[in-house]
Amino acid sequence: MRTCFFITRMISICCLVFCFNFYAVASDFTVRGRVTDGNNAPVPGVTVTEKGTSNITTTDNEGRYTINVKNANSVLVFSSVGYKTVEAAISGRSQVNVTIETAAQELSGVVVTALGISREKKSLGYSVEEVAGKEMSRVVQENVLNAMSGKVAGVTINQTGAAGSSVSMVIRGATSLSSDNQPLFVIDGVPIANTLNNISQVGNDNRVDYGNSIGGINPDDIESVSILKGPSAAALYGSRAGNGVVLITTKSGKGLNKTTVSFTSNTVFEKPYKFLKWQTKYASGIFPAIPVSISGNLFTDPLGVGDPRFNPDYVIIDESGGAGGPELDRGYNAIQWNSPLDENGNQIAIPLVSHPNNVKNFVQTGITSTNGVSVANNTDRMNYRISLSDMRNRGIIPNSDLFRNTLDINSTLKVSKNFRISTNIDFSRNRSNNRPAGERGTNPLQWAYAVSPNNDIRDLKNYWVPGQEGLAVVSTHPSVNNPYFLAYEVNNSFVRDRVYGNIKADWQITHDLSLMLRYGLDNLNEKREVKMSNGYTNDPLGAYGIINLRNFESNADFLLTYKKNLNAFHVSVSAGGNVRYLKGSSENTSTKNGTGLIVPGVFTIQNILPANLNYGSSRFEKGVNSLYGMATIGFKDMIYLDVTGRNDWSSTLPGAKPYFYPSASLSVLANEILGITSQDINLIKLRGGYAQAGNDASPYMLYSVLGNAGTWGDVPRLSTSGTLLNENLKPELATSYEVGIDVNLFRNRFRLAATYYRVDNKNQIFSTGLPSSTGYSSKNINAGLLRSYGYELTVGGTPVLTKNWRWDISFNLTRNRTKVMELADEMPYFTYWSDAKGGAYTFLGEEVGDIYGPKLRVVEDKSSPYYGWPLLDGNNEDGAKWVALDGLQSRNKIGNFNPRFILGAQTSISWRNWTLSATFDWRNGGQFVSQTYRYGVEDGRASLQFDNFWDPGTMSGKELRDYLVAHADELIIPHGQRFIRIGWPTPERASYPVSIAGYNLPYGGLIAPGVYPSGYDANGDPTGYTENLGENILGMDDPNDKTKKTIPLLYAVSNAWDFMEPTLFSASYIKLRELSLSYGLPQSLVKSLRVQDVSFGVYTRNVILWTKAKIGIDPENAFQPTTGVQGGIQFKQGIERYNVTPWTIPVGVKLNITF
Amino acid sequence: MKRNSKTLTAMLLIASFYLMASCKKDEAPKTDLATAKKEWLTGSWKQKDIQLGVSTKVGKIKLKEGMSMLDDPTINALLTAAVGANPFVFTRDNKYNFNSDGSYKVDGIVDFGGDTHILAGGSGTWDTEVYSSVLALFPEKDLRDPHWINNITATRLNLAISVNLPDLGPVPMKLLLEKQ
Repeated sequence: MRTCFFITRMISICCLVFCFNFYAVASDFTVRGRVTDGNNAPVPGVTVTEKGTSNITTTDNEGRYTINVKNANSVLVFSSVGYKTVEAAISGRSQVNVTIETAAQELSGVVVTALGISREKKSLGYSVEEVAGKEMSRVVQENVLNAMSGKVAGVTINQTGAAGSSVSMVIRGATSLSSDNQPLFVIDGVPIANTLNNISQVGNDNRVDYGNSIGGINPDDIESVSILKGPSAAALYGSRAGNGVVLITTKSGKGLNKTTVSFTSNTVFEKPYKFLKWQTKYASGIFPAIPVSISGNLFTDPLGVGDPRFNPDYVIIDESGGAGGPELDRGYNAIQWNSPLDENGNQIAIPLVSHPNNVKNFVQTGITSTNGVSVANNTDRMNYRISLSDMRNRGIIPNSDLFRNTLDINSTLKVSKNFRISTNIDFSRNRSNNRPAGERGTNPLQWAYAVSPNNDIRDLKNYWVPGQEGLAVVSTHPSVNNPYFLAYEVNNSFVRDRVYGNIKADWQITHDLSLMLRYGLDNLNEKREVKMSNGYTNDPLGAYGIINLRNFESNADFLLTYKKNLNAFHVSVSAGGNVRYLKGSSENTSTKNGTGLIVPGVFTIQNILPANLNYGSSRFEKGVNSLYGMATIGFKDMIYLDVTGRNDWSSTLPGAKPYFYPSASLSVLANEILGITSQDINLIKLRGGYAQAGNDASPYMLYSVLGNAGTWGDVPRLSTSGTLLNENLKPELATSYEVGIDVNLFRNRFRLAATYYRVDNKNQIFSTGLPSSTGYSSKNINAGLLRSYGYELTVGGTPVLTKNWRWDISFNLTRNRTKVMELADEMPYFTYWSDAKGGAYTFLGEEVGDIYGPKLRVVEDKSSPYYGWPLLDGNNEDGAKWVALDGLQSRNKIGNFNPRFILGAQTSISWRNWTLSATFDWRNGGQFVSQTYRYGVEDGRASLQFDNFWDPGTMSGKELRDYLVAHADELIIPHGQRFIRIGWPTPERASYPVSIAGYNLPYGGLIAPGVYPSGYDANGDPTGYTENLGENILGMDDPNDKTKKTIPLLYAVSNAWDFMEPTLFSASYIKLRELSLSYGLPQSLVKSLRVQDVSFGVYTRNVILWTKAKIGIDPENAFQPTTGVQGGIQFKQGIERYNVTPWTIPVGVKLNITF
Repeated sequence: MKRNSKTLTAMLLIASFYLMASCKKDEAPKTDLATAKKEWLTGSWKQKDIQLGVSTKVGKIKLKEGMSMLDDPTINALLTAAVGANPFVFTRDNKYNFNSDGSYKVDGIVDFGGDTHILAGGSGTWDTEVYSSVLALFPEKDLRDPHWINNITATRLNLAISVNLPDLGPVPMKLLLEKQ
């Protein structure tokens, strides 16, 4: 009976439970409640979500909410900006009240600071910015640094070339005249090597940028990036902190609480769409000839006059260079490089037709795919994360590629309550079968753009001459290279293996005292191999070379920290030390330029004659010992004072003399001091800092050593450097001051941070010239003072936050100026580079980045009616032309390669599970020199030249002259890029007779308006002026008239080659760097798939690229690879030569699945 | 208030247009030169001169570009010695009519006999080619006689001709015409 009763009761309970569950599952269940903060005040606007569903509501002004849930056992999630997110299980309750805490840490943020110490952002007296890991991997980038572009105030990032090339990151402007100004990169507390000097050259003008090693990091492994911008933040890195520090924290598996497997797949297609503005109207040649049978004039085919192939029915063209030849698509014929032969073996003239898409036909769609998988978990005792990634890139240049494989292992083991051991090891292999060369020489793009529009580039695709494979190359002219040959037969491969990591022990000795011990290493081995087949014009017999590079760095450090709360004061004192050791070596063995291989196509060292062998090796070691300390005193969470000091003993400085780097910073929380408790005023922080940091000397800067000087015949030679070294060298020293303010309002939905800084960089290490009588060409000195100053402003917020919508937006503004305040006594200016008839020189008291170019010679006689007009050279054999005066001598400053300011913007709009994100970047001001266009204009290839050809319509003679005089400022006097010529290359418009080698050609002449001296006095000053304004052309009307005689220039030589300004362009641009749309599957669906999370995304990069110059060149790429510039820096900034990768429209798709 | 704002808007628009108009650069008249040349060619032209188109030597005698084939005594003497008379003097009153219907007619002498002539024929059709830089004459259906227009204005025409002279071959000359 009892049993029966028990069974009956159990069945009843089960039925009840079943019915309850059925009700709970099948019916809506209304839950009400109130949300309050720690002071029991209502919190309006809190988002209340039924976890795993899209069921959302918000609290009213009284903090109350009502939500109908599907399941009485659901969990409610309460979230609001500025508060910690709270989850509360309903558990069948109809009333769920919660208290949410102000997210004190989130308010001010916890950031990683120097030595990997996590600090509350509000306590910092200096500027530190953080980029979240998701921002780094939202859009695939070949180099992780590109993902930071436009996102951080005070940071300038430049991709120096095509994908895979080095990416420059400069924080708060250049601080050093002799280094590449790159910041120190620290991953999980371990400094790793990175440099911009990644260019090597095997073969004549085969300069290849193999990319900087920071590009080997898998962006998906990054948890966060902290950027310590000024010495105040970075002072604890002492002599390595002069250029700022970038701290990268990798993902560790913390916070997962269960085994989590994540798979990420990402593919982006890049279709080239924008190219240089090259003309497609005129064929190869130097004169736009017209067949004599059409013109009735023998002189319309001047090259044909003396050519045995002359025929009145077609024209003779010159394929050796230039595109100033006959007009295309007009029915003219010419003997061309690929003309067929008649039965007598003579070339047959074929039609001159335009092929406007040569470069477009040469390049291909680039594809980059990245796949990664990670396994992670954390328990009470340990956390770990293991990730594997594979990146494959097919470049837009044919036969170019890039691969990256990484393995990252991150784990922490809590050995005991007070003792923890953690380690992070990262293996990566970056490799390529072929990196295309940059600059001029073997750069395939240079020669693709050199294919004249009368030639179809696809006719060059089969680049071996039939029957002479491996020996002779098909080309339009013996002096011209075949771009396909360069792409496929000049192979610049490399393999870079790197392992870096650390093992760290954290011991909480007592409640107040802790000790950290760490050992980290970074080992990098790289092999570069260049195989160049026979046929390149500068190395016709091919080339071969191997370069091995090794770099090793270890850091052992400790940090003892004591923290104590003493009534109103919080005190933290740390003391630590670091032993740094690094060594490196390189070997290179290659053919000497222009010599070649013994047997074509056999790429071995033994296939190089001993006399043709170029070889060398180098090695270095360096050690730096450091001791440092830090003290932080906080008063009632209102005022924080930080004081740090570091002493470095470096082996590369004389006698390893100690150098001390101090810093002090103060953070004052005004809102706390003033007792402001309003929920709308969350933070008002004033901060300021002072610090000194340094730039250490490189090895071999103190004492002379013997180096390889090649062979004299068969005799090997050694020599010392031509630079007189300095046994008393000191480190460069950066002294920094910064002040700033941080304001967070309206529950942190509005955020503002502003910083003003000044950094004085003294003891610059650089070379200055010596007279050759000293036996040296230059000497290394410590001198000079560089002053960088500027401001950074970040404004952001969350303007919209509703049940379904969230919109975040932030702007960052950067303005930096750097001036040279002092130089060595004998140096009036510092030379960054000299090229293109000018250079980047910085005079004392002026700004770094100034560009000087030739100055136009003008009439200086103020009493002359021609005052200020161009004073032409009337004796120039090409016709009356402008005269250039040396830009340096005349101090003719024409630009500056640094931007006036940089404005970045990021925004993210979320609606339910959809998120649209975008990153903009506006660089305003600054200029760059395009040598590509300089050559392009001179060779008649750039259509830009036509902008300077002014059409006089039907005006001629005096009417034209009077019009020009009336519009002298616009048409006679050159301004900037505007060097006007009157006329046109062909009779399509007014085209003037021109005298060449005693013959008057009937057209093809253009007039450079101005005057030229009609005679000179004893001092060489003009005694009068002859007008060159369109009257009395070639003296045909009156050969004796000295007041007016126009001498036109042959179109092909009429450009202002002697000047830099015509191809000095604005570097301003606006980029929509990233645009992505992602969608996360609803939790209900995700759970049914038995996974944790699934998200899809589509994105694009740089889809909007507006440049003020409008010439198809990205001003960000205004870097010219070179060697031998100051301090071994391998780029000239503010100038480019064939660094003209076509712009692409990338379209990417991304899939994330988390199990 | 509404009316005031409309008035203000209208005034601003007018001011904007005015400012834009006043900012417009004073550009040169952009009459298409090729079209103008053809228009200029059409009409009646009177011969002014025929000049030597190139400097050259005949024996030891230097001849300069620009010498008149009709009036220069040296040329006159040379031609007289070579062919008994200077045929160019007979062209002095030539008139060249390029009609708007595409026909042309020369009133005067253009053919000196044999291979020597100023133009390939005294009448036919005409057109301009290569952006009106070439005057193409068609005295017969299958005969094209192109002449480079060295210079042309509304009133003056300098036309390239090539005249085959005995013992010298084709000699470049300039036919100078003046609009009537």
